[in-house]
Amino acid sequence: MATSSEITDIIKAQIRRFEGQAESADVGTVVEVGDGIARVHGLAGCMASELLDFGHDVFGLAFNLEEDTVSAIVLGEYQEIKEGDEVRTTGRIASVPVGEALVGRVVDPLGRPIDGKGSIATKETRRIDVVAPRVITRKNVDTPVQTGIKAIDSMTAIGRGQRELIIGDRQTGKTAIAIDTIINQKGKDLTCIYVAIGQKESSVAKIVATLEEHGALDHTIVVVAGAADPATLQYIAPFAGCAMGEYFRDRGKDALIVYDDLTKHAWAYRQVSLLVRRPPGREAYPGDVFYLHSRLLERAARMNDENGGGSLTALPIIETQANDISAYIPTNVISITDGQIYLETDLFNAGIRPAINTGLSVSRVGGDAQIKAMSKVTGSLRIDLGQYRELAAFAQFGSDLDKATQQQLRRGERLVEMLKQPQYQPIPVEKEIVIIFCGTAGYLDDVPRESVQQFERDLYRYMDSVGKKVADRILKEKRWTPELEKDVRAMIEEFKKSHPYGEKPLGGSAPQPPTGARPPAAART
Amino acid sequence: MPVSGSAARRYAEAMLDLAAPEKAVGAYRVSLDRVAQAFDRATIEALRNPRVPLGRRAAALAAATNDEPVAIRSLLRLLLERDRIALVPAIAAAYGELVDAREGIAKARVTTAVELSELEREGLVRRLERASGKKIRATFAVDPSLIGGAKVQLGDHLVDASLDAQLRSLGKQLATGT
Repeated sequence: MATSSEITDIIKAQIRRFEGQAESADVGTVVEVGDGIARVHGLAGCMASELLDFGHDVFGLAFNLEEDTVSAIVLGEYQEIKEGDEVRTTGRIASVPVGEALVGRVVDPLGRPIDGKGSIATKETRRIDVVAPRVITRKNVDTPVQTGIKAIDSMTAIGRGQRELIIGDRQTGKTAIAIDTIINQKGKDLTCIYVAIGQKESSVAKIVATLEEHGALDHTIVVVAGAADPATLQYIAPFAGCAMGEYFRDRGKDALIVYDDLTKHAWAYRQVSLLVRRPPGREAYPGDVFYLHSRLLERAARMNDENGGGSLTALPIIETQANDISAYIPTNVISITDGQIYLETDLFNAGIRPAINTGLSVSRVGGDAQIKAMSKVTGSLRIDLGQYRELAAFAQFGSDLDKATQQQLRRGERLVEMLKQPQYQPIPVEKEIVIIFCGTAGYLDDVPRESVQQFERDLYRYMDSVGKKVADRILKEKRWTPELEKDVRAMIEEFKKSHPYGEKPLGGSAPQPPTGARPPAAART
Repeated sequence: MPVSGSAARRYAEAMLDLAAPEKAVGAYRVSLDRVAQAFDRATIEALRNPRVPLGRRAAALAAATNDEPVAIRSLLRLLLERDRIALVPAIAAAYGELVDAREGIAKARVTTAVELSELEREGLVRRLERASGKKIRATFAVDPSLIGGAKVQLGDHLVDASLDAQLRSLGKQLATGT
């Protein structure tokens, strides 16, 4: 603690250093204010998206430059602004504080703390809206982001620097996937940023509590523009979060940003645009809503080694209405991103969670980034599942099925069961590889369907103790060599010997294979 | 009604283009200012009253503006027919500004903490003229809350060299510790 005399000395030094300079600024007068928008007369020399000082510590962004007036969006509370108030230009473009100090904190879109943990000491600020890195500074995506979700890491792998859309109706587990991914980065080198746009404060509080509970807040920045915040703040929130992520990207580090969700962001932008009288287009969105999202998502990038080799991965979320992915905003964002994870209510209600539709979900670049062992064991998983779905639909007619078909149905059921995963329990990559190998190599075929998840849990426990050596080897080698495969097979067989699921039907309900290979539909006839 | 500056400016620009070849820029300005002064709210309302036939309103307007230049009378007639007669004061103001801009005259508002002497005023205006490269038409005001120094607004640009502003900026610096 500084004593009072020391404080006096500091202040004295500051006063001595102070240079009285005439302030020079363009000024204007507020002619109209409301709905978070202020129309300002004058301000002839105002720049586009320049920060404007309304006095009383209220700032705004010049949004529309017109002949006599400037339409500004007010960042924060506009109630204090009155008609006739003087407005000054600041010569600055809107920017937010960035830096390591923000990690572990909950902030608003202007970087001010809202978690009650005191002020944040940042040294740097960055402009919230910048041009994305040019092609010459980039590199192709070659390192995976491990989400810890089996279905995603195997079939729709996400690479560092990729933009992967999470899309689905409400209540299908979109946020859960993002949160699981953040939780899985605990103790790793990926800094996460979670941007909540237009969400209920209660949902945000719950997410923050969940992250805290799983120790995931220590590597996460949460940016919140809640449902009660002005649309102007909701509009700049993703850009602010992106600027915070770019700080890490440009320092050669890796960061992940989740925009939850861009549908509400588009709504906020529509509101602001209509209020400043920009002409409405399709679904009343302004004409540049595509550009709004494309310039935001373009800032996710993998930099090449000359530029530090950092990355910013984006996971935008889009909420659809009644599975309609051909609405305006969903099609826009689907075409911008490098793939999508498509979640469905029907699957969710059928108990398949995460409710990922593996047929419609794709990752256009992530496959290159998968670790070799994973892409090797995944192999035919997607095709097997596709064929299973087709057959399952066909088998509903209850005709006699030949053995090969029965076998395929059997395999498919177990694969579906194997890909199920409870919330907040991301799985380390070596375990994912082994369990997926079990599924695709047929080790699950003689395990009753009801026991697959028990099998999985026991296998993980086994890998933590007896199978530790093999697990460590997968993690170290990362490649799927024949020797490694032999050892993994040996470990699984050893495990199955000590955990007899196949021989001992649970509750006597599951008959013996192969005669008991009943497709679900056959029983229904 | 919101300030629809752009419409008035279009009419003013047209008037200026008409006036320039006839060397009547100054005369039109005097005339427009004189007419604008007469256009109070009641006059405008009466002229826009749809219960009176347009012909009678036009006749009344023509009779009242008998001494004005022909171009001005035509402008008023046009505005009346288009129901834009309410723009007249705005057009007069816009016309004045356009003429000033053409002749390189800028308006300055100088606010000081204490009353300036005539000599000081002249000196200040000369310095402003040198700095801006324009002829300055200055208005002066006194605001004791500035404590010292002066605040000069030139068009939309404000130079605040008052003690009050400097104290406020010092206060901000002390608070943020930079």
